[in-house]
Parts: sequence; C-alpha cells; structure tokens
Amino acid sequence: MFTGSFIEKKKINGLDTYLVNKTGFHENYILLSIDFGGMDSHSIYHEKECNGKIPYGTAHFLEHLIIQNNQFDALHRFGEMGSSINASTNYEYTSFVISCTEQLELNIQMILKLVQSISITNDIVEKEKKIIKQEILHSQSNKKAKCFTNLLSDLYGDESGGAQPIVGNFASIDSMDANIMERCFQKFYSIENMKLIIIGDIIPEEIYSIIGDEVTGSTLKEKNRYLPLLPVKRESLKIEPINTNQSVLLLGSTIANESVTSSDTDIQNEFMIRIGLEILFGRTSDFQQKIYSHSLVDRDIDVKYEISNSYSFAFLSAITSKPCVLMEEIRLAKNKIQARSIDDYEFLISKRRIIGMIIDVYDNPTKLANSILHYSTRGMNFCDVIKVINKITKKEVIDALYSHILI
Amino acid sequence: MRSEFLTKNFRNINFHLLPSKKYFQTTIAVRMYLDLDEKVATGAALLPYILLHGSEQFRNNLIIQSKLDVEYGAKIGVSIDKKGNKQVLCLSLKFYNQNHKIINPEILNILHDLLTKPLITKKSVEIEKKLHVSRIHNEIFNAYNYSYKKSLLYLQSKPQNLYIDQIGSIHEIEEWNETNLASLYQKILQTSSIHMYVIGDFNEENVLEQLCGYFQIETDATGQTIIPPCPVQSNIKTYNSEKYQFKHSIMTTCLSTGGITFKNKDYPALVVFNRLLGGSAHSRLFMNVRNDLNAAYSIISILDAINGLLFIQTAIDPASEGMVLRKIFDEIKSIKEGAFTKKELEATIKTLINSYKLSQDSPISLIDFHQNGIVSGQVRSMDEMIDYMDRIKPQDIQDVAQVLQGYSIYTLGER
Repeated sequence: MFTGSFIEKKKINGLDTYLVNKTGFHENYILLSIDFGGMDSHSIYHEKECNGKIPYGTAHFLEHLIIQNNQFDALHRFGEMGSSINASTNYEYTSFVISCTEQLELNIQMILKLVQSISITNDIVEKEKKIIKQEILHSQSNKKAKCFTNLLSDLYGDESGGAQPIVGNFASIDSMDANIMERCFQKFYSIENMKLIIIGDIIPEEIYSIIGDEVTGSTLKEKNRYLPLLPVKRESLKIEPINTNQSVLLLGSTIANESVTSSDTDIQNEFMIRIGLEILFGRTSDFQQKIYSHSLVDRDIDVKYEISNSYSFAFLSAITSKPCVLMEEIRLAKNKIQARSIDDYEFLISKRRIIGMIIDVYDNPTKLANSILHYSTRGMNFCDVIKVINKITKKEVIDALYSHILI
Repeated sequence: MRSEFLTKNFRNINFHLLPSKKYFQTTIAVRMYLDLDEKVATGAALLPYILLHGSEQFRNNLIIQSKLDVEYGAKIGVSIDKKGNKQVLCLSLKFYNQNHKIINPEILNILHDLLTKPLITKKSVEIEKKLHVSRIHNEIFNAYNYSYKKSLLYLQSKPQNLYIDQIGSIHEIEEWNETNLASLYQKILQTSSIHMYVIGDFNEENVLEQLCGYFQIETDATGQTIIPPCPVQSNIKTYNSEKYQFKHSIMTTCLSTGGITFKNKDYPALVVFNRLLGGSAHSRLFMNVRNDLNAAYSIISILDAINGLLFIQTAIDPASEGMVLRKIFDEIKSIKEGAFTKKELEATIKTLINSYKLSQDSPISLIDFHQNGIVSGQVRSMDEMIDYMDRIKPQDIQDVAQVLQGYSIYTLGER
C-alpha cells in the first residue's frame, strides 16, 4: 500500500509550517504563501471597517512590489546564492517560491525577511504599473484564461472577486497608489496569515530552529477573510474562439459546499465527486471514447473540481472545432449514465486513476507543496487523502453524482 | 545518489537505465529518431498518436487505458518532437511500480505490444488525420513559435531542413493511409535509432534482462547511426516584420553561435554567456529591458545548442521596439568587451549549477539532456557540466561572445 511522504506540521510563533523530507533530492523547495489573492478584490469582509473594496489585481500588484522591494533587491540577493525566486498569485493566495540546492538556512531567513517589511512610494507604484500593463496585454492572448474568468464571472456575478483576471484590468491598475498597497501589506502580510512549506533532503529540527529565530518578533493578529461567494447561477457555458477553426469550451457547475464535520469527511466529499466526474467524463468513459473517435477534440479534456473556502465548482474544458456538437455529447453523457448502472470495474479504474494522480504529486516538489497548501488552507491534511479515497464506495460515488452533477 | 544512465545496446534499441529510490513512480520513455524529411514528416507525426488506438493484444484505446488504470492510474503519453535535424517520435509511461526489483510485467507487456504490434487501421488513421489538422493549426496559430521559426528562416541564405515542422504539413495529410503508414512504421522500427529510458526504483540487472527479453525487434543494422547536424553559420544581418492583430509586438532575434554546438569544448562557456545575457530573472536583459526600461513583461534568451543558435524573444509595446533592440545589442556588445563584474559572473554560474542539480531531480530533464547529447554526438552528464562551471573564467565568456556575428530580427505585430 502506498504511504507517501510524511508531512510534519508545526506552528512556530504564529507561522504554520509544513516540512517534508525527500531523501536523495538535490532541490530544497521553499513555498511561502500569504492568504491574499485575486478573490480578495471586491469581496465582503467579516470586519465592518474593511468593507471598502480592494481594486482588482491588488494582490498580484503587491506580489510584484515585494519582489521589486527596494529595501531588499530580492532578485539579486537570491541570485548571488544561485537560488531562483519566483512568485505567483491565484484567486486565493500569493506565493513566493525559492528553489535552491545550497545555503538553505540563508534562503529561509531571506524569504521570511522579504515578506515582513517593505517601503512603497508612489514612484515605485507608477513604475510597476507599466510592467503590469504589459503583463495584462500578454495575458489577453491566453484565450483559455480569458474563458475561465468569464465562467467565474457568470457563476458568481460580475461584481465578485473572481469576475476579473487576477492581474486586474487597465482601469483597476490606474486606480492604485502607494496608500492602497501599504494598507493591504499591513492587513495581509502578517505571520499568522502566512504558511511556509519546505520540501527537500532536510532535518526538520534544524529548520524549526531557523524559522523560530526569524519570526520571534511577530505580533499575533486575528485572521480576517472574506465571506464565501454565493453563486448567482448553477451552470454556465463559455465558448471563446482561439483561431478560425477552434474554440475553447468551458462548462462549469457550482456545487454546494456541505457543512463541514471533519477533515476526512471533507476529503471524502471532494473525492466522491472527483471519482464520479472521472466515471462520467474521464479517459475511459463512453463520452471521451466517443468524442475522440469523432475527432471532436485534439488533446486531453480537462475535467476538474475546483474547491476552496470561497467557491466550489466542477468544470469541463476542451479545445474543439465543433463546440455545439461537443455540448450535445456532454448532455447525452449525463442522460445515458442515468439510464444504466455503473459497474464495479469502471468504479475501480476511476478510483485507481485518481489515486495515481495523488501518487504523482509526491514525486514533484512543486505539486506537493501546492497540494499541502491547498488542503491545509481548507483545514485538511494532504497525507490523509489516499487513505480516505480507498474507503470510498461505489454507492457513495453514485449518490454524490446524483446530488451534485446529474441535477 | 547516481545521476548517470547505464547504457546497453541491444540490436537497434539503446537502453538507458537509472535506478533511484528517490521517486515513488517509474518513468519509461521511448524515443525514435528519424531524419527530418518533408516526404515523411507528416506521416511520422501521425504515428505516435495512432499507436494509442490499439495493438494486437490490446485492441482499442479503451482497453489500453483501462489496463493502465488498474495499475494505479499508469499514464501513457505520446508526442512528436524535433531535435536538431531529427524528428523524434516520443512515447512515455509513468506508473507506480509496486515491485521494486523488476518492472511490472503487465506494463511492459502493454508497452511491447503497442510498440511492436500496433493496429494501424483505416478507422484509426482517419480519426487521427482529422485530429492532426487541429494539431497543425495549433502550431501555426502559436504566435511565439511562428515568430521563432521566421527569425530562423531569414538567418539562413539557403534554408536547411530545420524549417520542416515536426508536426508535418496540412497539405501532406491526405497522402497518408493505413497501408503507407504501416510500411513507414515498420521501416522506422527497423532502421531508426531507438532509445528507451527507464528511471525509478528497480534493480538494474533484473530490469535490463527483462527489457532484452521483451524487445527483440528484427532490424536493419545499417541505418541506425545518428549523424550530428551541421550548425547554422551565418553572417546575414536582417530585419523583417509582419503585421498581426496583437496590441503588442512579439520580437524574436535569432543569432548564429558561429558553429559552437553542444559537443564543442566552448559549449559550457556559451551556456554561461546565454545565462548572463538573458537566461534568468537576474540576467542583463531581464534587469534592463523589464526592470529599468519597463518595456516588456518578460524577455528571455534561449540557446539551441544542437543547431548552434541563440534566440532572444520578448513581447513589447510596439512603440518601444527601437529602444529594446538597441538595449539587446548594447548588452551583447558590453559582454563582448568584458564589461561584467566578477560578482555578476559568480552569481550566474551559481544559478546554473543550481539548475543542473535541480535537473538531476527530474526524470524528464535528465532524459531531455541525454537526448541532446545523442543527437549532437557527445553525451554529457549534469555532473560534468557542474565541473565545467566551476572552472569557467571571465575571459572564456568574453571569448565565446565574439562568435556571435549574424542575426535575424523578426517582429510580429504593428510597428
């Protein structure tokens, strides 16, 4: 039975820390995430005084400023050690990633320093606006990303945090100034709003000691997160032409978040749906075999279940020359499965395929760190995932399909 | 932990094995090399995809995928690649190998049957021909690839076969049917150089014996040597542009490295030069064009050391094109004149050593780097490259920079 790597969790002076020892790996992979993402823009907060809306693209803009931090000059300082630094922002959080093979202690110290102080002036903000506008132009040619944003906007409303690209738009970028950035930095960049994940051939005790020395002075504050998004639609279809012959097709359905009872139950609920989606639309499904044999798509179809503390939706995406025919096949696939019984073999292979995807995560530090982050943000332990999947029964999957997908 | 492959030749298959306990999964990658040739490129590009339609024992894709799923979601993938003047047919498998001594026989059985006894039927060929039109369209409509190819085309006074797309041509698709594709595949099996990589937690001797037992392909021993391509050498200096609907311009500058390729003694210095110029986020171009001029979101230089080429690619505001071009050539000139600090060079070398070490953790990177050696005529290891990095002197970088002479600039977008 596959057991994976042990994930050690500890809170050090308010900082949630996760360590994974990967014997034999050269790479030390450090991921520091801040609970501040695209979804924080235009969202409603629990605290009354924070109801002022944050412009679209703020988390991403601040991520740029942190990297450009004049007090620190991160690119050069990490570069001098031979390490590479990268940063990204998604709808939920901002991540800073260090990949190094030497001087792990110094790398940890520097990444923690990088996110704890900053000096922001209007000149710096104006300078960065030019680069970010280039990035917006660059990202506009990504039709799949554009389609995804349109889908979120449709499902959760055009005033929600997901209604605009994570990078923002020209108008929101123009509205930014040093004051907004400074306020967001003070609000979100606090130790208790961060998670640190380190993966490599490491000795955990040594790492804890380094982190403890670096974050001793932090003042503990309460976390302050936005309320979950309320869907305005149950289902949405988006089609975006990518050239004269082909289009991106995205079909999304919101899924009601059931009340949480325990971490295992949450994992179970997620994977009952994911296994169900594999049976319905996965690589061995009648649906996928048919659309390939009719040359409707030329590459893999993505069937995903996106779930976070603020949203929960399943979607299917494909690049196709015949979006209307593909839509009809999706509808037929849903109808057909209701007219027949799901056999034990298709349940078994779909479940094992999902287990295979989880095993794959353990060999890749980037995927592993992101999975640990994703599940811990939802209050779950990634280590438990395979154990829980193994216990899922066919009946549970069928019930989940009928409750959430075939309605 | 070892990071070099053990290589054994058995008939026309070259097995490259790397046992390692650090991975939970095992990777098997098959690479078949054939000369880039317009007459067969489209047919050869169709073949890897047709292989997934079934074989004598596993009659269709559903059976293949279901059998692989039973083995904890083993994943099979195919693609078509280009390395130097070779078209490369690629098939890869990734799976959780519960038996840590030998490869799961069920997996090898599937691989063997797909590779040696494919069912190339009228139906599978017709399906793949339709899908291949879309694949070719995706290539054609990729503006970055297009700009890259056009910059190379204008650098050559007499186009070599490098311009041939590995994916083939839409105009050639109708020439192919189940009969000529089956003949082509048999010819490839018998005459092309085939390489099979296995990386994972297994016993080397046992697996070698297992592989030799499975793969006994009757071959024509005469045609299996890979002859390295001649590097592109050019003194042409040219600028070309084309209008497109973008709001920004994609600008690619292609330079000849004066004949220095992967197997050349100056290759390690050329790698450092490229990294210093534009190969990382703290390179000269990234810092100056992005961070100082604020003219681009990203700019990168990429070395194609098999063909002796260096590409610089960026997406910019059309109004800043002249300024960015001046900056690119100023930075090249500055390195040629030795205007870089010891600290700058040390940091560049450290980041390179870091990336070679990181690549040793990635089966795909190890295979790709080994393939570069196969096609170039000299296999290098990551450890060897790290040793070279430690010995590089500033003068080596200055010397190697002098070889850049010819260039071709190609801009796609409004000027």
